[in-house]
Amino acid sequence: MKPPRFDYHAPASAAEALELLGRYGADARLLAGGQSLVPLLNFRLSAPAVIVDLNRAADLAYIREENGRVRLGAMTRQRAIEFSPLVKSRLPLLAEATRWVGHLPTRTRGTIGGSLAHSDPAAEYPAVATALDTEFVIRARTGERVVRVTEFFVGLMTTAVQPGEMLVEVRLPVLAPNSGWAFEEFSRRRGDFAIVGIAAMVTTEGDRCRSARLAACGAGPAAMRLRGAEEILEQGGLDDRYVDDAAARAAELVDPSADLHASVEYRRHLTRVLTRRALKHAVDRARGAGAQPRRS
Amino acid sequence: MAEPGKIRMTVNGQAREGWAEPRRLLVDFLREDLGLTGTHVGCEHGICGACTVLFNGEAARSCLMLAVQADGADLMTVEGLARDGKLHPLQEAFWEHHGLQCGFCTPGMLMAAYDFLRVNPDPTEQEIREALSAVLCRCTGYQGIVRAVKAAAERMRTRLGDDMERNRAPGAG
Amino acid sequence: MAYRELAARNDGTILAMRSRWYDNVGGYVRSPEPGCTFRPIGNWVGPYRFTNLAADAHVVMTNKSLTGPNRGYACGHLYFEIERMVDLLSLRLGMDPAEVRRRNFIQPGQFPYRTPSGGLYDSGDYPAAFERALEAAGYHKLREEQKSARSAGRLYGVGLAVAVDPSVSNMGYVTIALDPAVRARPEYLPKSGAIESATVKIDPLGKVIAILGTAPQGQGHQTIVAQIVADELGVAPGDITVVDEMDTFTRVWGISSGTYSSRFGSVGTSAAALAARKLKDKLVRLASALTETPAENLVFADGRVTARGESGHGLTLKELAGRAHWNTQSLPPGMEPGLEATAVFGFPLADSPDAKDRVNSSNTYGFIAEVMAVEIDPETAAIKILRYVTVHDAGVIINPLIAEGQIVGGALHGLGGALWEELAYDSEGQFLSGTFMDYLVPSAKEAPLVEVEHLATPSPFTTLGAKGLGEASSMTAPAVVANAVSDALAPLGVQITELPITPSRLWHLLEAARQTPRIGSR
Repeated sequence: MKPPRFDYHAPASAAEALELLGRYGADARLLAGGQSLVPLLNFRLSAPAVIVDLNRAADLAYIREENGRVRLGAMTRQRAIEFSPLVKSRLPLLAEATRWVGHLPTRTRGTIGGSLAHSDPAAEYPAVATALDTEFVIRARTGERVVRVTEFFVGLMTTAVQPGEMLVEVRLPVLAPNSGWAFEEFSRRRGDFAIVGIAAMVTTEGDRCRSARLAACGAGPAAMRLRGAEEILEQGGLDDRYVDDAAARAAELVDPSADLHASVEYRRHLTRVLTRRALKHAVDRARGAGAQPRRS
Repeated sequence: MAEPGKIRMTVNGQAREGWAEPRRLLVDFLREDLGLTGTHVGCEHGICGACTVLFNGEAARSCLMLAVQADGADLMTVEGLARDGKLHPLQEAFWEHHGLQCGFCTPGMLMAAYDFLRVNPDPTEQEIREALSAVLCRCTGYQGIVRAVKAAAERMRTRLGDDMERNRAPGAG
Repeated sequence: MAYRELAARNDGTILAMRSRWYDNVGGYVRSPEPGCTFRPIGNWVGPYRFTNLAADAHVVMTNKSLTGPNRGYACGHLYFEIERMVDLLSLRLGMDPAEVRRRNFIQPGQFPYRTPSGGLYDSGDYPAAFERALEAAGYHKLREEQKSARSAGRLYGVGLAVAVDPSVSNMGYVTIALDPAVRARPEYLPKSGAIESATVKIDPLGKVIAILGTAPQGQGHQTIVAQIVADELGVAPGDITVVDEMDTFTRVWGISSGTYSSRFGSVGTSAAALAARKLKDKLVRLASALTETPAENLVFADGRVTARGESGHGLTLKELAGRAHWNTQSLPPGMEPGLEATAVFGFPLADSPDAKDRVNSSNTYGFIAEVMAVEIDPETAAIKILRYVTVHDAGVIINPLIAEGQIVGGALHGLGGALWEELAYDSEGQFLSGTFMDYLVPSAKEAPLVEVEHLATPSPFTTLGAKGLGEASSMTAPAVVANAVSDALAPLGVQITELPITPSRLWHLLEAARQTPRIGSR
């Protein structure tokens, strides 16, 4: 199984890439890390007329902090994120989730932009982005727009990026003071896509929960924000009973499908279990205990 | 353009070149155009890891890369592990600890382990297992492989000498 | 799919088993299928003494993937059934499953043992190997751990599995697929036997070359043959050149030659040893004539032959070989020129099936005893393997490192089918696991540590006393993990009757059990 023929371009900059996208429109597919697209090419499940390879567009890979957010170029490698001291201190939820993304050799090539734009329902990065006030910078030849996460993930493997446009940057808010985070995942084997994964972030104010953020992957057509569960914590508090209630509510809010690996009911159940575990861990961290990331 | 073009790269320290259509996979270019058949094609969808090579110093699945993407790059395949006829400590350890049977996954295991040990030179057994979960093996049950990587790590840590790779920053690029 | 019944006395002695099974072989039967249905016919009773066995096998063709021989060939299914039944019996009787097994083993004094279905078990000490496994695993401590885990509400299980490990297919077993009436016809040509060949030769420079008939794929045949030949000829293994290429046009081979059915350990090593001994015999006669020393006083060591008790350099193998090749007229009268010997080793007891379908389907029979401890996460139903101990009797072990590699590899192969791997279809017949993203081969992270021990009862039917072990724990791993998980969940009334055990399926079993009101204890 080898890829079908395609016209190939490797632009040296984002601008050049957009020029090509503008020219070829829906005939073109963007090649980022290749960990999702190349298998499809190899199986000939995808047969684009044109491939625009972003791997030589050096201006698309960077990690920098600006105005309370960390900005990551879309072509930033997952491996760079994994080893970035800046990400570890300012975006620890992203750092922790990265350990669950595939394997080291896939993270060498895989990118944050690729993962977010592909929006596999079981992928970890979309859940992290959904749990935070993430901003997505989408650029076309004609200009750029900033889309908030609530408008970015539109449906099954569909995002707000239109033909002729490209995701160029992702902006995640830095960890707020008095905050704790956790990423919990259950998969059949190490490195597999999640059966269910939960991203959690809580910010405390004394005994109260000033803000709670919860997102699930693997439990719906796209990463899902679990606002109803968040409200239980924000209105009630961070004690076990609120955590348990939030976890139960999370299980009701998700919209899982069945596949050969897990039933709908089991995914709902896992949502509850993992939400509770993630919240407990996040709360512990927020309260200062458990500074080390826990391994499963 | 879809036509074959000239590509040039460094492989195992040597300048190499060839012609490749854009759709030619890197693993096929290495094996068939450069004659470096040590890298294996297992699944062609990025799961089994038998195709793992080092791309600019970092392990990557060569069945998920196009040969044209390696133009100008610095690659290492399993053929590049031994130096001047002397086996790399990883290779020695695989031999001593029965870390291979049919050998099909072995190049992938070696290259993945090589990258991993640069990032984590003193790993626990569980950390080794986690890292090696990137490459599938059907023959061994992994026990000999894990032992081999642990032994190689120790040998590489205590070895006095000239392993310049230890000085390269992990995760760079 | 199988239905199995067991009859036993209250003291745990098994009297009879009846099994009716349906094998889904896929779209058509592809040779050597339907071997999956009856390959282990000779060892259908496993290591147990009961003599009343009824077997009713059905082969069903459906529009699904074809089946074919895989490691363990039908034994994984066989022992899953038998060992689950033994555990269910233990549960019913309220007895320790270890004790129930003890009461049913074929005893060491009974070998060679003829099974009701025609198998001839060559050697074994099942009780001793079993006790060794229990001891190595600390079985009693595991049960103590289980008690305290249970009182803390944890789901902790201990599983046992034992098996007779058949190696070397007797070609005759394949003809079970034919009706006995057909086999009785005068024009029918019966099939039988299992052979392997090897050639050992010495070239004019004294280099020893060994040629195999087995075409291995990483099982270390070259290393082992080098060891065997080196041992016989008194040279270092590194001095043997082993040729493992096979060309049926130019090399010695037989219809059953090859690497499958764990046969190398048994017939392969026998052929290599016999060929080496044949050649050694010739070297002895030659050296004896040249040095005028009686054969019994000659010592072959370090690449030379010397006379016992005498100082002196003797003759190197190279000098001997030189004589044989360059000066054939100087050879002892009647000695055939050349330094080459071929041996073809065949089993004398590999007969065709009789009129009642009884057949000694394999030629050597090893034994495996395993203990596994697991803990199940009550929330996610994830299974964690805490200990996995396996004791093997594969007769004489020639290379322990290679043996361990085969055992550990086989164990994970078996566990793969028990916990992760499945050719899955949906209710519309759509194939669901067509890539490695969904067909889950276990990785290093899933693989448990396997603790391996040996207890050897040499086979009287092979030259070195070795038996095959390439498949080994692939046969017992599904049974032992199913027993361990069932043991962990016994208080909830959950029993494993289907593989693979996936977290989702297991959770559904747990949920169903939790919602079922339990009447009575256990």
